Amino acid sequence: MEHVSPTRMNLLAKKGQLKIALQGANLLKKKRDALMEEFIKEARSLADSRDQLNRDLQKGISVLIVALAVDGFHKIRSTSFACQRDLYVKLTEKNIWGIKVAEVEKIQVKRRVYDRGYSLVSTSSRIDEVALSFEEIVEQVIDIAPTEVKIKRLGEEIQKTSRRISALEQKLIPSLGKDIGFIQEVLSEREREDIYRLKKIKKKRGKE
Amino acid sequence: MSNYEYLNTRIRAMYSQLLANEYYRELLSLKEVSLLIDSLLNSPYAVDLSNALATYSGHVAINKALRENLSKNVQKLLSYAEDKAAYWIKLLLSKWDAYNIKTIIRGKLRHQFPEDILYGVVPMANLKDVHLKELAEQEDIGESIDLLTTWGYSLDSRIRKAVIDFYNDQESIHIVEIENLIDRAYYKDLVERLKEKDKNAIFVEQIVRSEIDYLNILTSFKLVYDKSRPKESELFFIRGGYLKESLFESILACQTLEEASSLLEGTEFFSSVEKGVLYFAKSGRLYVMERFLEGVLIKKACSMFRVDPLSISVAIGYLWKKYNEVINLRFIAWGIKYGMPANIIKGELIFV
Repeated sequence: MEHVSPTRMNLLAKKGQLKIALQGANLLKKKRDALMEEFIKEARSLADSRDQLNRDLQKGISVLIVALAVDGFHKIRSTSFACQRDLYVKLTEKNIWGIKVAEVEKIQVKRRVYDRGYSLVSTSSRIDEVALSFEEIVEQVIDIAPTEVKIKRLGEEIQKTSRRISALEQKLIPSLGKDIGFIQEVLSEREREDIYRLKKIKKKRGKE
Repeated sequence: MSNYEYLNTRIRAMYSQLLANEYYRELLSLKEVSLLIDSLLNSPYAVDLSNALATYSGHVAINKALRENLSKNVQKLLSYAEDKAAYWIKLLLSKWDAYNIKTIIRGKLRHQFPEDILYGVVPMANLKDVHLKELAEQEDIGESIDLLTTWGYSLDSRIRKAVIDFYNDQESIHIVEIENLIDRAYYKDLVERLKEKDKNAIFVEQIVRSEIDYLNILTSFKLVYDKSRPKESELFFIRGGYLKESLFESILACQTLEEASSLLEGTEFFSSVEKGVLYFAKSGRLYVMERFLEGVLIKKACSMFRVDPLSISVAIGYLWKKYNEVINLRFIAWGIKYGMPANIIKGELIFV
């Protein structure tokens, strides 16, 4: 505060800054609210998807155990060679309040039983079921992954915005308020001094 | 001339070592894998399990021991068999060779490391560990096929071409087409070898044809369950069984498994499939039905043990019963390990 020159120019500048800071804080609050709304919406849908994924994963594992028990590890291993493939996902960028998040186009991972690569004669329906279950799981993971990243980004952005709001509300705005108060105090003191001086001069001139 | 008296006496001695159904019931009451291991250490699996426990633990050790024991017993059986008897046993086991060749081809086509490929093979028939290792370690698929040819496993020229085409340009051909070609060629060759009309050939033929039927029914059920019908569905049909291709096509035209099952009336699978449909309706899972189908085949094969004491039927019965025992024990081990209720485990076991 010691560095603030108590001038009328500075007072106007500080007032301008305060106005902008208040507007900024207000805007950031609105942004935070919007982000929170988006965050809660996404978090709810993510929680549902996660529950579904966990349930499907459990089902998949239980079928896998049956397949391992009856067909053996070797058959599952051998079948997995035939099933292998690369999966390509298309990413698009979306902007939410300045945050860039990736959106993944839904892809079909599930395949027809004869499209997996292995012959139907050489595998049991247990192995088919395992393949199908895990294809569904991969589909869900691809679906959920961008939402998870989005939520993470939204969370980080909410934190960042909250920190900015706090900085404005706790530090900048009170500091500008003090500066303005200080300048106003000095200026009004000066004004009083000037009036007093003028009165003195007027009195002196009157006596003369 | 094969000496079936000697061979079957030895097989009967081996048969007496197989576990009784009461023993499974005892095992089903166990709650921990360690207790199962204790129990198996007092069974014919003791030596293999002790060896496996030196490296592995829990259900993995049991799995290893079961596999080792099965392989050893098969080799023991082969060591007792001579001439034609050995030929028939090798013929029965040749499906494992076909499976192993398919695994090597799959692995090679997908550029897997040899050690990864070897995890998927079962050296139980003519192709032993060393052969499979050699095949898996070849530079490319062409060399593996050449090596197979030098060992007397000549692949059909169409298969060879399809494999090489896939290897060189993965887009032009689908791997399933190669697999279908291999399956069809294997079963065609197998059925052709059963043209002899002696009683042993007839016994082997009975079981091979039932197995082909089982595979065809299962394939058609899989496609109905998947609600899909591939363009060239005839490629999925294996010739040589009792069932006609027209039945296979009729099953494929069905909308539901219940409908498909009813078409099997008059076949040896019908009564079990009828029961299987009920369980399928409850669970909605095809593998429940598959276990009923497997049961028909396993029971038929095991019953051959008592058909003719001076023929290959004794070996057929023994091999299938031993195989079934290994699967039952493996299921019990995995079931106990993952806390499956005893009634669920029991439902998956096949008692013969």
